[in-house]
Amino acid sequence: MNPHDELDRALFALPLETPPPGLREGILRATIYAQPAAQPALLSLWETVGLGVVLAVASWLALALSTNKVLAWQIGHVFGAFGQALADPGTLAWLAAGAFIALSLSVFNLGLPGPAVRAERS
Amino acid sequence: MAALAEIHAPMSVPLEPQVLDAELVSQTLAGRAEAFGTLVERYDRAVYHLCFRTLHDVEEAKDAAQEAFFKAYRGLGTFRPSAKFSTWIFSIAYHACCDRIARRKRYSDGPLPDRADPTLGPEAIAEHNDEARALRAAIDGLPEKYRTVITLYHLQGHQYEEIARVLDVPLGTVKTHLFRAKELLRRELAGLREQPVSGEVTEE
Repeated sequence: MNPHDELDRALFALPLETPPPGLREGILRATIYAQPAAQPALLSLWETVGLGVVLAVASWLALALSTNKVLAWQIGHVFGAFGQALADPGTLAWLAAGAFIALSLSVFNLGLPGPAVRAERS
Repeated sequence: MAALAEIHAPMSVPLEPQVLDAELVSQTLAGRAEAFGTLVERYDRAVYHLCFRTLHDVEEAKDAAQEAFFKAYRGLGTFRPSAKFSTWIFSIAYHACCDRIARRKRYSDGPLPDRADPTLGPEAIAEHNDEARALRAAIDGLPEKYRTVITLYHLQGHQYEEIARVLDVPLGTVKTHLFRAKELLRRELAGLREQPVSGEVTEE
């Protein structure tokens, strides 16, 4: 006979501790009823304001162009002049020179110190 | 608000009582959150029991039990279907309690109390001629390692392997600790029957 039989019986008959009130509610509130974390905003405040301004100006412009023929002619004239200037070989040459210099600066190493090299593990 | 009202209302989870724990875990993972509610219903008392027996403090035990379920809920995806949910949740709860004990030791200057309630000492055992109370008090008087193993034995029955998994110790250690714990309890309870007032349980 196991000398601990009686003790085992007493142990298994021992009731579990009574949990304090609110334990189950607390667990459920922290798990299945937990409010999902707020989703991060798609755009920041300033981005939203900027987008709103751009949309407002574009809407106004579209409305003005459809109703005011003088304004439409003036804007057309401005864009026409801009197009003519771009078509000028001198302007194109200067633009090409600028683009080449910008590309050279971004591609070629001008002897400036590069980023620190991580020390290798010995 | 509706969700909170549901908490206070009696849980009416439309799941069969025979549904296996692993099935409830699968259902929770599939998005049926009330299945986890059933698991909480099944194990909250046992987990609290383990936490209280380990920590000897009602509020800390409550917090540790909540922490255990919270961690289990968040880590449910890592639960292996071949494992037992009870072992898993007891293991999480036990480690949460160990963390709290370690924190207590770090921030406490004086010696740590090894009893929750001094009124439940050997003197109290003699005063209360109640077997369950006497046994509980005798368990409280055990050294921590034996107390935990006896508590898990009480919760998990004769499944020594499961106890070893919860405590993360070899099977032989569980058997040894359990045998010694039972011997201490047996002697303590026998001593109480013979003499009304006895000394504290001592480990030989």
